[in-house]
Amino acid sequence: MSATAELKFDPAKTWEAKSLKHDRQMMSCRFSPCGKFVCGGTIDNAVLRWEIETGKKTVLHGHDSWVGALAFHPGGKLLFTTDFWGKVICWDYTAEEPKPVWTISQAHEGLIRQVAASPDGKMLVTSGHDGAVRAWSSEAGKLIHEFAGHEDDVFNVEFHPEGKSLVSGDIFGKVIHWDLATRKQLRTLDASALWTDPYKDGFIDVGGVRAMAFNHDGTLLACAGMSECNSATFSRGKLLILEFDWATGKKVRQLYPVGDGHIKSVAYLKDGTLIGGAEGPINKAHGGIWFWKQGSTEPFHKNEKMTHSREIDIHPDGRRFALAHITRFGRGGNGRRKGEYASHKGSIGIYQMTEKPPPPPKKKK
Amino acid sequence: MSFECGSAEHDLTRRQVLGAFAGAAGASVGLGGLLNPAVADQIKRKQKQVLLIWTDGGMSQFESWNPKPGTEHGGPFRAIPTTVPGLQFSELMPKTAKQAHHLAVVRSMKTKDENHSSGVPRILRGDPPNRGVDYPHLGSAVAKFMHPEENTLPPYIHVKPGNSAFHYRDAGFLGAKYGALTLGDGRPPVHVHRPETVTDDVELARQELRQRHNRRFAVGRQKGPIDAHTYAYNMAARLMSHVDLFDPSKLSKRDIERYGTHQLGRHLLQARRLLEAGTTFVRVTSYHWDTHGDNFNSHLRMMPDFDRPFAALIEDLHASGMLENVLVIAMSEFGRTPKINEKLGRDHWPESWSLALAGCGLKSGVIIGDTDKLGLDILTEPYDIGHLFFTVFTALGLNPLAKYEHKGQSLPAIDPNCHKVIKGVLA
Repeated sequence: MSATAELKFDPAKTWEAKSLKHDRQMMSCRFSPCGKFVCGGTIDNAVLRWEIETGKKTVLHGHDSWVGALAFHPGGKLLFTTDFWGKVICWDYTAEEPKPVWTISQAHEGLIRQVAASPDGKMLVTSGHDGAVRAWSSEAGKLIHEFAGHEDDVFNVEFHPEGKSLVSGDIFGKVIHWDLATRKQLRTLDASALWTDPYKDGFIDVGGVRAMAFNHDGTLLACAGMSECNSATFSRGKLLILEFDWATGKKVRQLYPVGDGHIKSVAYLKDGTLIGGAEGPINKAHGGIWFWKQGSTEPFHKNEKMTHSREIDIHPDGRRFALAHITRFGRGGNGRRKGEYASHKGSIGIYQMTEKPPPPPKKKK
Repeated sequence: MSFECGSAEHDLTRRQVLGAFAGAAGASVGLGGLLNPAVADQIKRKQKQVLLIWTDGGMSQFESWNPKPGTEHGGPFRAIPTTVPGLQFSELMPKTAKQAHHLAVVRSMKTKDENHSSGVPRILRGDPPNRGVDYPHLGSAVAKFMHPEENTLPPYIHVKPGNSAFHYRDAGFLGAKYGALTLGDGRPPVHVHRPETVTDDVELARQELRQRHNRRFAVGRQKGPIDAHTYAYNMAARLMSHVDLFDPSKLSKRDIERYGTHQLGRHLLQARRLLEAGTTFVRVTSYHWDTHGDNFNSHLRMMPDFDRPFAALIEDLHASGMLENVLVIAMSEFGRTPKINEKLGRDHWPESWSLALAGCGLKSGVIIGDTDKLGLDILTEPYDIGHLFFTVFTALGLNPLAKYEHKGQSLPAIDPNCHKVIKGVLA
């Protein structure tokens, strides 16, 4: 049990309990179902596993490109990780030195955007830049089915908590609800506000469903990203979270936290609180994170001085969350000045949603 | 007609500059038979031409000509083999990779300016020493020295998104005559088609009336803009005899499919038609390559729009034999930083970037220069934009050592600090 388990749960008093550091930017993070580990994907092609309590870090090698997404099997010992060259690796993450259990070397043509494990643990689903959504067996990585319906880059895929439905969202904000029993498309939801043709010339599409999450009872679906992009150059536009009533498919909330760019992650707490995290402006040190009570459009808590972040995940204890961070390091911007040329770094922050415990009393000499 | 430049005073004469290319550059190009194969053959044999493909904002060298997969700054994409052993491009250029044997890829460009506002004109003008004058853009210089007098097509045509205009400032001190006729979205100037109800006599009367009013308006006013307007009007009038060039019904379905119906595809196909017709210098500009944020998703979306028509164009120019005399340059004002910023973007990087050349007797299937494994530093001889201009002038048969005489100043056509060719490019 955590040392802070007795402290009152209060997201408004969130504080960073631990920072697990890495030399390169983080792309993703997930807690293991047992809650003992947090794993992350990086832009130096690594999967990182930290034992949260001790901070012990293990590097899992096997990917050839950026590790953009990862998902844990809900009940077993398996971790699924994906990269930007189309590879999926299944690891026994509990081993001292985890090795691949199986590998799909070309699950997609190019970037895999997201991976999700089904609640019953029987399958995982991947989505990719190639416009495909594919289901694979958890046990052996064999292709089970391809869900055809998107025409382009599928940024996100997620299982409904009941395990009977799947939802996928693409660059144009087309969200498809799939029935897992029949494998048919049941309906589409309109999240096209998350897509922009910023120059009105068809040259570049900006946006997409960059983040997606169901609430715990599956009655709400949040899709997030950026709307009204006014500069593809700086990836600048309005942060936007669209919340859908799952039963009716109607939008029930549109949340516009003040920021600049994409909402990169969303997650629900058990009490219905919605959390959104975002990168901040270029050459600034800060992104932001916001908390909304269910049904409210005003955040009851925010931290807009937080290090840039990409992905959020809630700990199984419901009292902590992890954020995959980018930490500015060295000079940024154009060109080069004299001196070293260093890459930005990364970390996974472990945040405690309680008041901060008082520091232990100093021992008298 | 007199122009702002006062041509007799500053002109670098055609005879002075033509050097080895004398004779050929002055070749006559018949106008009545633009689509006549015999004329096309004549163009192919005698007139050197240039196509500048300008990816404005700065295409990433990592995501195009100089990939570094698996390295600290390499980004997420693969490198793929090309038709040239040992040469790899980013996986975002699969079609261009199949035309690599026609290209000379320079991976050792090192220029001085990391800003768009100052960098773009410096690059397009060859970054000459500051002598208090506006040097001409490459297109204007080539238009002046190489455009056959008998060729009534505008010598310098710029195809770009947006509106049409006559960009006379491109010509710098050469004067409005050598500015760029800019065709927004590749369209001809508006009203280029004369209504059938306007007879020749009526048209002549209209022109005389217009000229009379122009002369009256010009009294006591600055000459530059008026000259530009007059020249652009005359140029547009000449274009009226070439309206076939802009007739989409003349395009084959195969070409439309190969180049693509997207903006850059249409513009590069239009560029090919302009070259086939004998235009001396065609520039095609594609905007939005300045990817400070979300560089990789942006290049994922944009590179195919470049790759497809660029590869088709190179293939076509080679197949028709035109590549022997058409110099193709694909470049930006700089490259993009190795460092990946906090929004997964890349910033401006003039320190070590890449461009591609093809045709006009250059070596093909060659890689010039190399960078270290991180893409930070050039390991071989670095080249500035002046070296590129020197190489281009040489390839076109122009004398790169020539000087402009302008208002008492003797101005080197090319930065004297760059008086050598990019080694290994010329055959």
